[in-house]
Amino acid sequence: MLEPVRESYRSGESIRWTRVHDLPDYVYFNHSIHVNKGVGCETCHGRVDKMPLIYQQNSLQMEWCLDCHRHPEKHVRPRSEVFTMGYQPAEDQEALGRRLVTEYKIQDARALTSCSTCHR
Amino acid sequence: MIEPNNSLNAAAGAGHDHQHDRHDHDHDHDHEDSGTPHEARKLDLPGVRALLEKSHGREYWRSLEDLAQTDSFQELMHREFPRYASEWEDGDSRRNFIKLMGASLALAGLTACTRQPTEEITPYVRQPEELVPGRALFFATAMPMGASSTGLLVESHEGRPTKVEGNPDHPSQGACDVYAQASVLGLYDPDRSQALTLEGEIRSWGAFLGAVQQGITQQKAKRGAGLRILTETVTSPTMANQIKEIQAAYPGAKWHQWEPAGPHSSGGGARLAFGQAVNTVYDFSGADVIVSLDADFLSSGPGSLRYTRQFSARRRVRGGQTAMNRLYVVEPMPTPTGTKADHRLPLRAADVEQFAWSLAAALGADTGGRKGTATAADKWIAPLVRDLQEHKGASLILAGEQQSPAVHALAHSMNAALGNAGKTVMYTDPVEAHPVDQVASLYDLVSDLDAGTVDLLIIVGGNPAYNVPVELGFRDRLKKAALRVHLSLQEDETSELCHWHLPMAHYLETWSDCRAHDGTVTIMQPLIAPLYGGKSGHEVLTMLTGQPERSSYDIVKSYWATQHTGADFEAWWRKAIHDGVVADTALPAKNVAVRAGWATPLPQPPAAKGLEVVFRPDPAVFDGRFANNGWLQEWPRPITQLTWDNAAIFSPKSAQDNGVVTGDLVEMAYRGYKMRAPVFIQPGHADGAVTVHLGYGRTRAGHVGTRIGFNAYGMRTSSALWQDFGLEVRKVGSDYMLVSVQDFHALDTERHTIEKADIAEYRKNPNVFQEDFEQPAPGLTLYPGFKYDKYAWGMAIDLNACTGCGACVVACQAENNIAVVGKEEVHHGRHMHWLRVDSYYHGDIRNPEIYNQPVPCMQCENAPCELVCPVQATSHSSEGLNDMVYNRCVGTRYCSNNCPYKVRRFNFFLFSDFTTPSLKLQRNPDVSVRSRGVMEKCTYCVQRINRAKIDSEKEDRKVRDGEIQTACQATCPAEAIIFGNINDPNSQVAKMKAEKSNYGLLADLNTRPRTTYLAALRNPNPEMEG
Repeated sequence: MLEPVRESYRSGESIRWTRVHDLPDYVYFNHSIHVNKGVGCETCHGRVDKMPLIYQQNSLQMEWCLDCHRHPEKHVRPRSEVFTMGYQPAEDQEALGRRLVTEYKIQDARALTSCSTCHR
Repeated sequence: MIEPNNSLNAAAGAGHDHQHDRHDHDHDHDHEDSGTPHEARKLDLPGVRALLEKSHGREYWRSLEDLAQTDSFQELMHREFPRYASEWEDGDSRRNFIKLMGASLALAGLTACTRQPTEEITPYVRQPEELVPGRALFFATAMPMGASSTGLLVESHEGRPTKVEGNPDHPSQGACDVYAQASVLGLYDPDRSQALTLEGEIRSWGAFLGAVQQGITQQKAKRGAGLRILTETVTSPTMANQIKEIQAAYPGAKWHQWEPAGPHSSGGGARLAFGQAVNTVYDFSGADVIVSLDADFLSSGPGSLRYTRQFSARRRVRGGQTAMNRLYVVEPMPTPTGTKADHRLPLRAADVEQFAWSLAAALGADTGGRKGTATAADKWIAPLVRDLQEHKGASLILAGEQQSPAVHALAHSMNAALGNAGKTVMYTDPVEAHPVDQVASLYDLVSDLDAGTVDLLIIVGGNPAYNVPVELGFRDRLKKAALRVHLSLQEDETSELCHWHLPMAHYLETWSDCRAHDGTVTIMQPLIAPLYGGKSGHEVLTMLTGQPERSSYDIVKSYWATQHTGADFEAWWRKAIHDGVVADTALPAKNVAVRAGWATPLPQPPAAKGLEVVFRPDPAVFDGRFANNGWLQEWPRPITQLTWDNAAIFSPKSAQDNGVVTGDLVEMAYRGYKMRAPVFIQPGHADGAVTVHLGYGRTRAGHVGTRIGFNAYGMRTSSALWQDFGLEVRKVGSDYMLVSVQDFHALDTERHTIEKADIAEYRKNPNVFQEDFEQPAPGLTLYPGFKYDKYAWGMAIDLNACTGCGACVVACQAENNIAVVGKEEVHHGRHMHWLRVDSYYHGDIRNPEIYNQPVPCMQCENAPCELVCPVQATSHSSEGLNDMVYNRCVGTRYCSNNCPYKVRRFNFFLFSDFTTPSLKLQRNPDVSVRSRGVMEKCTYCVQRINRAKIDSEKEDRKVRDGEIQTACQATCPAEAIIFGNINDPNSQVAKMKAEKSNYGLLADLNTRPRTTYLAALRNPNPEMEG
């Protein structure tokens, strides 16, 4: 199963992965800030631990992104749980979320929905 | 104001709605032909005459057309774009329209906007260290040019350089000039030669090596008597050492250096004054009074970046500092240095020399008893001498590179007489590795060529067939060398006369070294492997030695290993490369004295007769080497604001005397040599002189540069490299399309776009600017104000510091993927520069004061553009930015119509090059490349803001003041542009905005611009007027 990886190492040719989660070129998406602010992997990518072949779980359309950008407290989780699959919040997500938003200094909806946050 | 898009309508004068009558003006005009392209009502001779007679009543004016209130200027002022910008006036329009529409229909296709084309992720197998895809890395190097270099930190995305920034640790102090900013485009120039050729046929490097080794073996017997190496000015210690070793092995070989704008006069002046080659380094930080004898030290020449930094620091009036230096300038053609002058006089170049003699005599410097002849500047001498003598040791007199060696020697004498040596002016050993009289060197080569003794001629860089003095007839003489080799970036005028053309590695592709104006060495490192297998000068020269296949890396490193004393060479090497400067290599000050009686044997200069021709290196293409650089060709030259051309520049009176107006084609004759050029009338130019810039009229410069402008080298002789009398001018045509953007995007000059005062006035009454200000009350708006709790971005531009050098314009173009549109489109007003530098004249047209004002987007809080966009493609961000969203824009252009500052640019066509592969490498991946039909404008470099914010949030801290530097700010040598968080009272920008000289442009319109200006101040000598 890992033969393509070994072949790539031997020959020096990159593996050509087909990109599943792809945003249009006019969207400037920074992945690291999402991970740093407590957005879990499965929040956007779905239960990848249960995917023999990765598929796109969420629409990735702007309205979907805005849903979280307008209400980050609905989706944010503690940084220690970002990689957890099948995460369940220990308490009510809204309450926990609001605390984390303050603790992680996540910007307010007006800042997160400014056009230049993603488009430039 | 939306006009029907129909020129027929305009001609009929019927049915078109225009707002002219809304503003008051006291003349009537008719509208019949005020819209046809290429026929804009020009200023004619009687018009010029009338202007010369009348006393000036206008406070500020953009151009003679503005003063005369010609219809064409009125049009330009009222409209966002010239009338024909949104029309398609080219011939065959209907057919072209269908053709283009057909093409774009095919491009639009049926696959729009449903699914992205499949992309791939291809990770590195062995990732280069420190490289994170998406993050830029910065590497230190330097750009050598002439007898100096600019230290750089080059931004590299995934292994390719995209943007050049300055290196703060280098003598150039983190600033860049236009040449450095535009050089990254030269790296990716599609016209670069991609193959080594022998008489046009492709060969390999191995074949060349074989041929040159054969040649060099034959030379062994002759001890190298037939070997000649022709380079440009060399400061590289490594290259000089290589040539020295070659000359040791082949004692008969000769090394010649030639550069058209090389240090000919300064070298000659040093030899004259000191009897030896000496480098002059200035220190403006201690200079209270500065006299520039045709020296454009603020925008050109070695050290200009540091000199600008020092000069502007003494000119800034903020933070409690109220003492300003004082600058006197005499020059034939207005330059950025002239715009900063407190006192400026236009003088013919020869008169500058006469003035220098008179001033030196009055100062008691050694002039051999000579006094200059009378000039218009004589009224300056008494008060100037008093001013200088009151500031002994704190004054500075500079001679421009293009003045004769005598003027340089006079400047040295005067500085010595004033006790400035060691204080504001320092002397060191030469920066050039091997200083020679380059003209004598050329003559030596030519006599060898004539004698037939040159067997092997290796030309490293440069373009001698194009730019050598014309009387040498170099194009024919060059062919007398038996075997000719030319190493160059592209196949140019010299390559076509040589046998072997070798593709050169660009300075960003190779290891090398160079010196700055004070001698500081930078070891240059490559940012990318040579794109087309090019080789550096080092690698070609080493082919003449016993180690023909050494790489530049080995050559440079082994040279420095021999120079290094002390232990641990490796650590020293890595640090030197990392820092971009080799510590402690600035040349130490040298004690030299002006020779007594140096002036006595000098002959009298010839009497003034007729017109003077003044040759100057071009601000954009320099000596012609950048002719194929689209950014530089389209860059509006300082003062004239010309693009895509050079011109014969006349003063208004000289133009009238010779019966020509702007746009007339003249044939100029000098000593039997002729050239043609279009006339451009420049207020403030000296009467009786014609300035013509070098570097144009090239026959083989690539797709962009070939046949642009007019070749002045055809008139340039070695006895008069820079100026001479005896020019004759004859009108041979008219209506040449000269494209100057001076009047485009003009703001109503009756409004106070420039605020200025004398420093004495400002000190007495700091409120002098606020008093006549019409800033509307803060609550005067229908819309609830935005609240800015966290960051609120703002910018302040200090007009006192800005020199109008224009580096910011090219930096913005490089950073933001701004397209080049070409001469025709610039003529239609469609050029895309997000930042422009406006010049305003004040005063008499013979010698006006000139004020420069960089105008980016004002990022208004009450933005008129945001309200009118039907699709909300431009909205206000939470931090005060006026965002521009290209993917929403449908191209209504209502926003630019509403913008009072005319800072919005529209992509009327697909100006961005979507196809040429090498240009795609240069693009900044953090900024969209705009297609046709979308509006764009300055964004305060929002990509840099976002990057800094993300980094700071990941590190759980606030963005530090100065962490975000917009592209224009980062490159500005004068530190005139300051950007930052105005919510932070300690930020530099907040402090600048708190100054009493701070004002907003057109603030009475209640737009609340976030970009404000600090008023311009002058420090005139109370004993002098004008």
